Amino acid sequence: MNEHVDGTARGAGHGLDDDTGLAVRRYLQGLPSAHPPPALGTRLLRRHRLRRQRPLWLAAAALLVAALMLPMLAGSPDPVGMRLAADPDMLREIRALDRDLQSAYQERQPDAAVDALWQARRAVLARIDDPQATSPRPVRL
Amino acid sequence: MDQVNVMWQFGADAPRLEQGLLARARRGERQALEALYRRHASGAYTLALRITGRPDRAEDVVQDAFLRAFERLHAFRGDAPFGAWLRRVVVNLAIDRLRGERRLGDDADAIERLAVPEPDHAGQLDALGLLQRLSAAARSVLVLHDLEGYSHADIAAAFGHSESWSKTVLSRARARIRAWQDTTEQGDE
Repeated sequence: MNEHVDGTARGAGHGLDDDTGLAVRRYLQGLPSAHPPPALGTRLLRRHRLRRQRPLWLAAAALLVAALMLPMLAGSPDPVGMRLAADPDMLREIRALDRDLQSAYQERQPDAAVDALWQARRAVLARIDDPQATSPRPVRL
Repeated sequence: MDQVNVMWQFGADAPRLEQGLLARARRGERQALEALYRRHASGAYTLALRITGRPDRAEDVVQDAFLRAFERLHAFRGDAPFGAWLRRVVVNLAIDRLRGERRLGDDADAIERLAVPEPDHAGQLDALGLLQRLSAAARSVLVLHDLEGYSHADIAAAFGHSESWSKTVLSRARARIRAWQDTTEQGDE
């Protein structure tokens, strides 16, 4: 390309064939170097370190959030326990049945007696979902 | 690109030494990262300054360039010297910054508009010399072609213009520098 773009340049893009290009290139190559502020190195290395650590922090934070949200994602948090705690009578019944069951196991009572206690306990818990349901009275042994 | 290679090599053992540094830097060794920075900071900063024309912008570009390079070290295969790779990153970031700040102007501005010289409190602009009088586009084309060894096709692609534009801007920028040199020399006599 030999376009004459002004009176000084003999052509564009001729590289070192051009006297002007050669003189300018020599001039540019003779310019001194510049040096960045001394604090720049420290600053960018610190930022690099922080960026490298960020994925670890993000992973830890994601695990924490997942642990906190898991009950919500799985449904309401332990509805049976919460509703049982809200009904003192039912809670007393359950505790009494638990004591009876413990005694039954310690005293090696027959399986039928233990099964009856478990059935009574399940019936009490069933009333949580259906308050109208009748519960068979626990079999006192 | 010979002058680039010469600029970035430090003796016969430089490539081997640099490969060792890069291997350690990839493992995240702080000392190796520091050594890479010390080796290449001045060259990267000078280049960024010559394209952006402003020390504060050059500082930002150098920081971003090193951060990007360090983060992508695992992808750097070593086909070219690290310094040459880094310089490419510097050039791309500096041009992006000029474009973002709308300092490249339109075609007519590329050479006709002169830059407003920045106050140079720390002697940083000595590295610019007469370049600081040129517009951002003219200065960048001149630096990329005459100092960095870019072809007109490379420059055209980087700026989103034609090769003809690159050739014209280069020719006029050279002419201006030459005229200013002559004026300076006459003034000295």
